[in-house]
Amino acid sequence: MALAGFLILAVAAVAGALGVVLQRNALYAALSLVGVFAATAVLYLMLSAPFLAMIQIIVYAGAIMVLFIFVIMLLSVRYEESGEGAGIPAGVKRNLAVVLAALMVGLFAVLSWTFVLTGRRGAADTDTTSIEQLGLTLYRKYAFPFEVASILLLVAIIGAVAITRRHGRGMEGSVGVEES
Amino acid sequence: MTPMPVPLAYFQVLAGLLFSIGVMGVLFRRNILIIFMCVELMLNSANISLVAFGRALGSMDGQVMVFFALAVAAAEVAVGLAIIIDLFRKKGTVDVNQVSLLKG
Amino acid sequence: MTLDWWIEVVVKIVVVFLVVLTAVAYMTLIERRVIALIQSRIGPNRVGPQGLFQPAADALKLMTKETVLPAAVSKHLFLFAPVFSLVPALAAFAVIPFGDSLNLFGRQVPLHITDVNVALLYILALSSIGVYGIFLGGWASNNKYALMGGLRSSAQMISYELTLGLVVVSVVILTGSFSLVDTVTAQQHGWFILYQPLGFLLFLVGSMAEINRIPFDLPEAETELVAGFHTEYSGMRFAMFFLGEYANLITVTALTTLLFLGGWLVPWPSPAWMGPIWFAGKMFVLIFFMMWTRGTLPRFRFDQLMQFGWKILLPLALVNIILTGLVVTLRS
Repeated sequence: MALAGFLILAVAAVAGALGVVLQRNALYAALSLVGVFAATAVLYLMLSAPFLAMIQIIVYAGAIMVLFIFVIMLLSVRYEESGEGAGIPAGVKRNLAVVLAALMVGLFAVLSWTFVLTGRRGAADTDTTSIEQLGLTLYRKYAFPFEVASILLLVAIIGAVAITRRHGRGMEGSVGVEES
Repeated sequence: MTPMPVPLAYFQVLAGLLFSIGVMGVLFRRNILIIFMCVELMLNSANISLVAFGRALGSMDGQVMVFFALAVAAAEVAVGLAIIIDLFRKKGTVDVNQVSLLKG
Repeated sequence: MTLDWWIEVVVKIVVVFLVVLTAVAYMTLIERRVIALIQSRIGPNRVGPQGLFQPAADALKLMTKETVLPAAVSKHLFLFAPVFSLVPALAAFAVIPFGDSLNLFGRQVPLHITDVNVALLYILALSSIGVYGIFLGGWASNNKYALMGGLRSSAQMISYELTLGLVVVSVVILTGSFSLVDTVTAQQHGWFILYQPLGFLLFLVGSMAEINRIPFDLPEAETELVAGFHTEYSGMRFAMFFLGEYANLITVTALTTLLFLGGWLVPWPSPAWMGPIWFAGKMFVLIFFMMWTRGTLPRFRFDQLMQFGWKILLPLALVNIILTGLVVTLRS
């Protein structure tokens, strides 16, 4: 039964990914990507990572994609500029795409089946829940990367504001803020 | 000591498939927002792979790495979208073939 | 996964679904009567005794109204956006516990549909998804008022979600678990409102902003922006947005009760079936409070609203976490 669930999620994820890559309308592509993230979150649940599943929804589907969709709406980018353009002709593109995809899938399949890995649980995980374990690992073993990640986020916030600031009064780009 | 619900290989194949679809998107689309979304798709597929391996090996490290990858992806999206907005303001287009001033 | 288990789960889902929908329907009537009393008038009291059939009349009206589909909308998004708004509001009830276990039909039936150990995060995730319905509805309407209303409303919701998340963190510090059942059992020695008065206030105000209620309902008020993101919606689709909003109200008051007011805990020893009754009672106090503020306060302007959320509530929530952490560390 778990296999059936996995197959459904895998099909949904691949369908969503194809939707992102093949759709003309950027907004529909973004919504397909939200579908991929939702399928991924359920896969994480299947892999005994409930905290990560919820964080995936909150961060990826609920914040990052909302940001994407805001930008798509604000730039009113609906359709990709179609028409001519220097580039690879369509038939070659298609064949190249299929060949590359088959190569990658094949490579991964070969690599995976050579691993003789069944599910093994680590030693000390029978009494603590996975969130507690995650927290302990995060704050003990990975404390330094954690601090670096927080500085990285700070840099990203400052950078994003600095790049999009209009010099001058600087508030015309925002939604409905009145100059008070 | 519970085995995985589905063999590890299946997760890796799925991750590989999603990754290659993402690569196709980056190579063949011209709308920079869609290219960016395909990059996020690739990151996501790597995350699936990490969590699957973490579960197979019984280690929390996979989940922690995904946690950091998520944080980094969020930061990257914020800055990337800021750059795209700035690009749109200056050039009026999001077609990557039109922003080729530095092309040799 | 036995047949017993399936029957139990399905019956619980059906019961919760029906109870929530009925409660949502009658919430509209209660709100109109309460607001009317505050405004020195009577409110709907014609349809049935004291207006008790008013929700049925409203439902019939909305169902038989012509669903106008404007010509230039993005059809699929327009039709799908209310679903994004209603489904997360109802799905939150899957993890809300209404009481301790009862002895029904010879077995111990716990009074919740399920008890996941990430229940609080699940509810936060659902509120993140609920944002989609609003701005997709606004965008799909192909109407500048709807778009502005949708973008403003979603900006407001994602801003106040941060405050809610941080207050949840400080509650989790006290509980040690994300599970809602554990949160209520941890309050046996004192409701968390006594330990976290600031957290309670922040959560209350943040959740009012989160569900777009006055004083935070600028993006959808009828006197501003022509009703905001649901301008172009009529009939059943509008009803879905409407239902979603009231279902959110119930979810949010249920969550506040569970986190701060002790859930189903009764201050003195009582039989198990008193639990849900007390839970409902506490929820009604909060719902009355929300309706009271709706009838009393004017609404915030959008920039005041954003400044309030980012510059006042968010720092206070951070201070709350620091204080909670300090006190817990010093005491142990």
